Amino acid sequence: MCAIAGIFLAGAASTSIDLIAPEYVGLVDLKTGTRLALVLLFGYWVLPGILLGSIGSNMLFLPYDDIHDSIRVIFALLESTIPYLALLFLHRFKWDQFYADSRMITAHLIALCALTSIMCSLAMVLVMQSLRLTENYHLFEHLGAYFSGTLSGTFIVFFMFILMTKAFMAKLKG
Amino acid sequence: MNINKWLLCNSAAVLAVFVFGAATVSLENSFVWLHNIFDLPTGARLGMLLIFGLICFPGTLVGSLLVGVAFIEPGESINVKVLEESAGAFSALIALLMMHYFKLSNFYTKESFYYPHVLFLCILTALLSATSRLIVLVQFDQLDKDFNYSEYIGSVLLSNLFGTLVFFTLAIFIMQAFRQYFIQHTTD
Repeated sequence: MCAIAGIFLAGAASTSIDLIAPEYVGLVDLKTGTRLALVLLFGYWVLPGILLGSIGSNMLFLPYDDIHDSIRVIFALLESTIPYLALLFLHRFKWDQFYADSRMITAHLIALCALTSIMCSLAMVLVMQSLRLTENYHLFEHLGAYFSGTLSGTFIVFFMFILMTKAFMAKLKG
Repeated sequence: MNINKWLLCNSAAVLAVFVFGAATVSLENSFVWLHNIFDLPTGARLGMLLIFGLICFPGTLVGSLLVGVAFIEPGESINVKVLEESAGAFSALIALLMMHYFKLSNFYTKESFYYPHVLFLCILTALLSATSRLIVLVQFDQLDKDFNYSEYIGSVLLSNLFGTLVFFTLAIFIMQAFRQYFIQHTTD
Protein backbone atom coordinates (compact mmCIF):
# COMPACT_ATOMS: atom_id res chain seq x y z
CA MET A 1 0.00 0.00 0.00
CA CYS A 2 2.82 2.38 0.87
CA ALA A 3 4.59 1.54 -2.38
CA ILE A 4 1.41 2.34 -4.33
CA ALA A 5 0.85 5.58 -2.41
CA GLY A 6 4.51 6.60 -2.65
CA ILE A 7 4.77 6.17 -6.42
CA PHE A 8 1.35 7.77 -6.97
CA LEU A 9 2.31 10.83 -4.93
CA ALA A 10 5.71 10.99 -6.62
CA GLY A 11 4.00 10.97 -10.03
CA ALA A 12 1.59 13.69 -8.89
CA ALA A 13 4.45 15.84 -7.56
CA SER A 14 6.53 15.38 -10.75
CA THR A 15 3.55 16.45 -12.89
CA SER A 16 3.05 19.63 -10.87
CA ILE A 17 6.76 20.43 -10.97
CA ASP A 18 6.74 19.91 -14.78
CA LEU A 19 3.88 22.42 -15.08
CA ILE A 20 5.99 25.17 -13.46
CA ALA A 21 8.34 25.19 -16.45
CA PRO A 22 6.76 23.22 -19.35
CA GLU A 23 9.89 23.56 -21.51
CA TYR A 24 11.72 21.37 -18.96
CA VAL A 25 9.23 18.46 -18.79
CA GLY A 26 10.84 15.44 -17.14
CA LEU A 27 13.65 17.37 -15.44
CA VAL A 28 12.69 15.93 -12.05
CA ASP A 29 11.47 12.33 -12.20
CA LEU A 30 10.50 11.50 -8.64
CA LYS A 31 8.69 8.31 -9.72
CA THR A 32 11.87 6.59 -10.85
CA GLY A 33 13.71 7.74 -7.72
CA THR A 34 10.93 6.33 -5.56
CA ARG A 35 10.95 3.04 -7.51
CA LEU A 36 14.71 2.68 -7.09
CA ALA A 37 14.46 3.41 -3.36
CA LEU A 38 11.66 0.84 -2.94
CA VAL A 39 13.58 -1.76 -4.97
CA LEU A 40 16.73 -1.30 -2.86
CA LEU A 41 14.84 -1.30 0.44
CA PHE A 42 12.29 -4.06 -0.09
CA GLY A 43 13.55 -6.21 -2.94
CA TYR A 44 11.28 -8.32 -5.13
CA TRP A 45 8.14 -8.72 -3.08
CA VAL A 46 7.14 -5.03 -3.45
CA LEU A 47 6.89 -5.38 -7.28
CA PRO A 48 3.04 -5.62 -7.24
CA GLY A 49 2.82 -2.36 -5.28
CA ILE A 50 5.30 -0.63 -7.59
CA LEU A 51 3.39 -1.90 -10.63
CA LEU A 52 -0.02 -0.77 -9.36
CA GLY A 53 1.35 2.61 -8.32
CA SER A 54 3.03 3.07 -11.71
CA ILE A 55 -0.14 2.12 -13.61
CA GLY A 56 -2.22 4.55 -11.52
CA SER A 57 0.35 7.30 -11.92
CA ASN A 58 0.75 6.78 -15.69
CA MET A 59 -3.00 6.70 -16.26
CA LEU A 60 -3.40 10.08 -14.59
CA PHE A 61 -0.12 11.92 -14.83
CA LEU A 62 1.77 10.86 -18.01
CA PRO A 63 2.38 13.97 -20.16
CA TYR A 64 1.70 12.45 -23.61
CA ASP A 65 -1.98 13.09 -24.34
CA ASP A 66 -2.19 11.09 -27.56
CA ILE A 67 -1.22 7.76 -26.03
CA HIS A 68 -3.81 5.06 -25.48
CA ASP A 69 -4.42 3.72 -21.96
CA SER A 70 -3.07 0.28 -22.85
CA ILE A 71 0.23 1.87 -23.91
CA ARG A 72 0.39 3.66 -20.57
CA VAL A 73 -0.05 0.30 -18.82
CA ILE A 74 2.77 -1.19 -20.93
CA PHE A 75 5.01 1.77 -20.01
CA ALA A 76 4.16 1.21 -16.34
CA LEU A 77 5.06 -2.48 -16.66
CA LEU A 78 8.39 -1.62 -18.26
CA GLU A 79 9.20 1.13 -15.73
CA SER A 80 8.39 -1.23 -12.84
CA THR A 81 10.47 -4.19 -13.98
CA ILE A 82 13.48 -2.39 -15.47
CA PRO A 83 14.93 -1.30 -12.04
CA TYR A 84 15.07 -4.99 -11.08
CA LEU A 85 16.83 -5.87 -14.33
CA ALA A 86 19.30 -3.03 -13.80
CA LEU A 87 19.95 -4.25 -10.25
CA LEU A 88 20.51 -7.81 -11.48
CA PHE A 89 22.92 -6.49 -14.11
CA LEU A 90 24.90 -4.54 -11.49
CA HIS A 91 24.87 -7.58 -9.19
CA ARG A 92 26.48 -9.57 -12.00
CA PHE A 93 29.32 -7.08 -12.17
CA LYS A 94 29.52 -6.75 -8.34
CA TRP A 95 28.39 -3.11 -8.38
CA ASP A 96 25.40 -3.77 -6.14
CA GLN A 97 26.78 -2.48 -2.86
CA PHE A 98 25.00 0.81 -2.24
CA TYR A 99 25.73 1.42 1.44
CA ALA A 100 28.98 0.94 3.39
CA ASP A 101 30.90 2.76 6.13
CA SER A 102 27.79 4.72 7.17
CA ARG A 103 27.23 6.36 3.79
CA MET A 104 25.75 5.69 0.38
CA ILE A 105 28.16 4.66 -2.37
CA THR A 106 27.31 7.37 -4.89
CA ALA A 107 29.14 5.82 -7.86
CA HIS A 108 27.08 2.64 -7.68
CA LEU A 109 23.87 4.64 -7.24
CA ILE A 110 24.67 6.79 -10.30
CA ALA A 111 25.44 3.63 -12.27
CA LEU A 112 22.06 2.20 -11.24
CA CYS A 113 20.32 5.45 -12.31
CA ALA A 114 22.18 5.50 -15.64
CA LEU A 115 21.44 1.86 -16.42
CA THR A 116 17.76 2.25 -15.45
CA SER A 117 17.31 5.33 -17.63
CA ILE A 118 19.09 3.79 -20.64
CA MET A 119 17.06 0.60 -20.43
CA CYS A 120 13.77 2.51 -19.92
CA SER A 121 14.41 4.82 -22.87
CA LEU A 122 15.36 1.95 -25.20
CA ALA A 123 12.35 -0.09 -24.10
CA MET A 124 10.04 2.87 -24.69
CA VAL A 125 11.44 3.60 -28.14
CA LEU A 126 10.97 -0.07 -29.07
CA VAL A 127 7.32 0.07 -27.93
CA MET A 128 6.73 3.33 -29.81
CA GLN A 129 8.48 2.01 -32.92
CA SER A 130 6.30 -1.07 -32.96
CA LEU A 131 3.23 1.18 -32.76
CA ARG A 132 4.64 3.57 -35.38
CA LEU A 133 4.58 6.53 -32.98
CA THR A 134 8.26 7.47 -33.34
CA GLU A 135 7.80 10.37 -35.77
CA ASN A 136 7.64 12.86 -32.88
CA TYR A 137 9.93 10.87 -30.62
CA HIS A 138 13.67 11.57 -30.55
CA LEU A 139 15.63 8.83 -28.81
CA PHE A 140 18.68 10.82 -27.74
CA GLU A 141 16.72 13.80 -26.51
CA HIS A 142 14.43 11.50 -24.56
CA LEU A 143 17.41 9.53 -23.22
CA GLY A 144 19.08 12.73 -22.00
CA ALA A 145 15.89 14.03 -20.40
CA TYR A 146 15.14 10.64 -18.82
CA PHE A 147 18.69 10.33 -17.43
CA SER A 148 18.70 13.84 -15.91
CA GLY A 149 15.19 13.28 -14.51
CA THR A 150 16.18 9.94 -13.00
CA LEU A 151 19.34 11.37 -11.44
CA SER A 152 17.62 14.43 -9.96
CA GLY A 153 14.59 12.45 -8.78
CA THR A 154 16.73 9.72 -7.18
CA PHE A 155 18.99 12.30 -5.57
CA ILE A 156 16.03 14.17 -4.08
CA VAL A 157 14.32 11.02 -2.77
CA PHE A 158 17.47 9.47 -1.29
CA PHE A 159 18.75 12.77 0.13
CA MET A 160 15.47 13.54 1.87
CA PHE A 161 14.83 10.09 3.31
CA ILE A 162 18.40 9.29 4.36
CA LEU A 163 18.65 12.60 6.26
CA MET A 164 15.23 12.05 7.82
CA THR A 165 16.11 8.47 8.79
CA LYS A 166 19.40 9.47 10.44
CA ALA A 167 17.69 12.26 12.38
CA PHE A 168 14.84 9.89 13.32
CA MET A 169 17.32 7.23 14.55
CA ALA A 170 19.15 9.86 16.61
CA LYS A 171 15.86 10.98 18.18
CA LEU A 172 14.92 7.37 19.04
CA LYS A 173 18.27 6.76 20.72
CA GLY A 174 17.91 10.03 22.62
CA MET B 1 25.87 25.33 15.53
CA ASN B 2 27.16 23.20 12.67
CA ILE B 3 26.33 25.20 9.52
CA ASN B 4 26.47 22.11 7.31
CA LYS B 5 23.93 20.32 9.45
CA TRP B 6 21.72 23.44 9.45
CA LEU B 7 21.91 23.69 5.64
CA LEU B 8 21.20 19.98 5.13
CA CYS B 9 18.21 19.95 7.51
CA ASN B 10 16.70 23.06 5.96
CA SER B 11 17.31 21.81 2.40
CA ALA B 12 15.51 18.57 3.24
CA ALA B 13 12.65 20.57 4.80
CA VAL B 14 12.33 22.81 1.71
CA LEU B 15 12.27 19.77 -0.57
CA ALA B 16 9.78 17.84 1.55
CA VAL B 17 7.28 20.70 1.88
CA PHE B 18 7.61 21.65 -1.80
CA VAL B 19 7.29 18.09 -3.14
CA PHE B 20 4.26 17.28 -0.99
CA GLY B 21 2.72 20.65 -1.89
CA ALA B 22 3.22 19.83 -5.59
CA ALA B 23 1.64 16.41 -5.09
CA THR B 24 -1.40 17.95 -3.36
CA VAL B 25 -1.94 20.44 -6.20
CA SER B 26 -1.73 17.69 -8.81
CA LEU B 27 -4.12 15.43 -6.91
CA GLU B 28 -6.65 18.24 -6.44
CA ASN B 29 -6.49 19.09 -10.16
CA SER B 30 -6.96 15.44 -11.17
CA PHE B 31 -9.69 14.60 -8.64
CA VAL B 32 -11.94 17.59 -7.95
CA TRP B 33 -13.61 15.78 -5.04
CA LEU B 34 -10.21 15.64 -3.31
CA HIS B 35 -10.10 19.44 -3.00
CA ASN B 36 -9.14 20.41 0.58
CA ILE B 37 -9.22 16.78 1.75
CA PHE B 38 -5.48 16.14 2.00
CA ASP B 39 -3.29 18.96 3.25
CA LEU B 40 0.01 17.13 2.65
CA PRO B 41 2.24 20.23 3.10
CA THR B 42 1.01 20.53 6.71
CA GLY B 43 1.93 16.90 7.30
CA ALA B 44 5.36 17.58 5.80
CA ARG B 45 5.86 20.70 7.94
CA LEU B 46 4.95 18.88 11.15
CA GLY B 47 7.03 15.86 10.19
CA MET B 48 10.12 17.94 9.43
CA LEU B 49 9.79 19.96 12.65
CA LEU B 50 9.43 16.79 14.69
CA ILE B 51 12.29 14.92 12.98
CA PHE B 52 14.84 17.72 12.66
CA GLY B 53 13.66 20.07 15.39
CA LEU B 54 13.06 23.79 15.33
CA ILE B 55 16.29 24.48 13.38
CA CYS B 56 14.54 23.44 10.19
CA PHE B 57 11.74 26.03 10.52
CA PRO B 58 13.36 28.40 7.95
CA GLY B 59 13.33 25.51 5.48
CA THR B 60 9.65 24.73 6.09
CA LEU B 61 8.83 28.43 5.71
CA VAL B 62 10.77 28.73 2.44
CA GLY B 63 9.17 25.52 1.16
CA SER B 64 5.71 26.88 2.03
CA LEU B 65 6.44 30.17 0.28
CA LEU B 66 7.64 28.29 -2.82
CA VAL B 67 4.42 26.26 -2.86
CA GLY B 68 2.42 29.49 -2.56
CA VAL B 69 4.31 31.15 -5.41
CA ALA B 70 4.65 28.19 -7.80
CA PHE B 71 1.12 26.75 -7.73
CA ILE B 72 -1.35 29.61 -8.19
CA GLU B 73 -4.83 28.70 -9.43
CA PRO B 74 -6.41 30.93 -12.08
CA GLY B 75 -8.17 33.83 -10.38
CA GLU B 76 -6.25 33.38 -7.15
CA SER B 77 -4.28 36.25 -5.65
CA ILE B 78 -0.59 35.47 -5.12
CA ASN B 79 -0.53 37.61 -1.96
CA VAL B 80 -3.37 35.65 -0.38
CA LYS B 81 -1.87 32.31 -1.36
CA VAL B 82 1.60 33.20 -0.01
CA LEU B 83 0.16 34.54 3.23
CA GLU B 84 -2.00 31.42 3.66
CA GLU B 85 0.99 29.13 3.22
CA SER B 86 3.09 31.26 5.59
CA ALA B 87 0.27 31.12 8.13
CA GLY B 88 0.32 27.33 7.84
CA ALA B 89 4.09 27.26 8.48
CA PHE B 90 3.89 29.57 11.48
CA SER B 91 0.90 27.65 12.88
CA ALA B 92 2.99 24.46 13.01
CA LEU B 93 5.81 26.31 14.77
CA ILE B 94 3.55 28.01 17.31
CA ALA B 95 1.70 24.76 18.04
CA LEU B 96 5.02 22.98 18.68
CA LEU B 97 6.22 25.78 20.95
CA MET B 98 2.94 25.69 22.88
CA MET B 99 3.32 21.96 23.45
CA HIS B 100 6.91 22.48 24.61
CA TYR B 101 5.70 25.14 27.03
CA PHE B 102 2.99 22.88 28.48
CA LYS B 103 5.44 19.95 28.70
CA LEU B 104 3.56 17.82 26.19
CA SER B 105 6.53 17.59 23.86
CA ASN B 106 7.39 13.93 24.33
CA PHE B 107 6.89 12.85 20.71
CA TYR B 108 9.02 9.72 20.63
CA THR B 109 8.97 6.24 22.11
CA LYS B 110 11.85 3.78 21.83
CA GLU B 111 10.62 2.51 18.46
CA SER B 112 8.61 5.28 16.80
CA PHE B 113 6.49 8.37 17.37
CA TYR B 114 4.25 8.81 20.40
CA TYR B 115 1.00 9.16 18.47
CA PRO B 116 -1.29 10.76 21.10
CA HIS B 117 1.00 13.79 21.33
CA VAL B 118 1.49 13.89 17.55
CA LEU B 119 -2.29 13.81 17.09
CA PHE B 120 -2.78 16.62 19.59
CA LEU B 121 -0.06 18.62 17.82
CA CYS B 122 -1.85 18.11 14.52
CA ILE B 123 -5.21 19.27 15.95
CA LEU B 124 -3.62 22.33 17.57
CA THR B 125 -1.85 23.18 14.30
CA ALA B 126 -5.12 22.81 12.40
CA LEU B 127 -6.97 25.17 14.74
CA LEU B 128 -4.21 27.79 14.57
CA SER B 129 -3.95 27.38 10.79
CA ALA B 130 -7.70 27.76 10.27
CA THR B 131 -7.82 30.87 12.46
CA SER B 132 -4.85 32.53 10.78
CA ARG B 133 -6.12 31.70 7.27
CA LEU B 134 -9.52 33.16 8.17
CA ILE B 135 -7.81 36.36 9.26
CA VAL B 136 -5.96 36.50 5.91
CA LEU B 137 -9.18 35.91 3.95
CA VAL B 138 -11.04 38.60 5.93
CA GLN B 139 -8.22 41.11 5.48
CA PHE B 140 -8.18 40.57 1.70
CA ASP B 141 -11.97 40.48 1.47
CA GLN B 142 -12.00 36.98 -0.05
CA LEU B 143 -15.07 35.68 1.80
CA ASP B 144 -18.19 34.82 -0.20
CA LYS B 145 -21.67 35.93 0.91
CA ASP B 146 -22.60 32.39 2.01
CA PHE B 147 -19.28 31.63 3.73
CA ASN B 148 -19.71 29.19 6.62
CA TYR B 149 -17.07 29.58 9.36
CA SER B 150 -17.70 26.26 11.09
CA GLU B 151 -17.55 24.36 7.79
CA TYR B 152 -14.29 26.09 6.91
CA ILE B 153 -12.67 25.29 10.26
CA GLY B 154 -13.95 21.72 10.06
CA SER B 155 -12.55 21.24 6.54
CA VAL B 156 -9.14 22.65 7.54
CA LEU B 157 -9.07 20.39 10.61
CA LEU B 158 -9.96 17.32 8.55
CA SER B 159 -7.53 18.12 5.74
CA ASN B 160 -4.69 18.68 8.21
CA LEU B 161 -5.47 15.40 9.97
CA PHE B 162 -5.59 13.40 6.73
CA GLY B 163 -2.50 15.10 5.36
CA THR B 164 -0.53 14.41 8.54
CA LEU B 165 -1.77 10.82 8.61
CA VAL B 166 -0.66 10.17 5.02
CA PHE B 167 2.72 11.87 5.46
CA PHE B 168 3.55 10.16 8.75
CA THR B 169 2.45 6.72 7.50
CA LEU B 170 4.63 6.99 4.40
CA ALA B 171 7.56 8.60 6.17
CA ILE B 172 7.61 6.14 9.06
CA PHE B 173 7.33 3.16 6.75
CA ILE B 174 10.19 4.31 4.51
CA MET B 175 12.37 5.54 7.39
CA GLN B 176 12.01 2.22 9.23
CA ALA B 177 12.95 0.45 5.99
CA PHE B 178 16.03 2.64 5.54
CA ARG B 179 16.92 2.05 9.20
CA GLN B 180 16.79 -1.74 8.69
CA TYR B 181 18.79 -1.35 5.47
CA PHE B 182 21.51 0.66 7.27
CA ILE B 183 21.64 -1.80 10.17
CA GLN B 184 21.79 -4.80 7.87
CA HIS B 185 24.51 -3.36 5.64
CA THR B 186 26.57 -2.00 8.50
CA THR B 187 26.99 -5.38 10.17
CA ASP B 188 27.69 -7.19 6.85
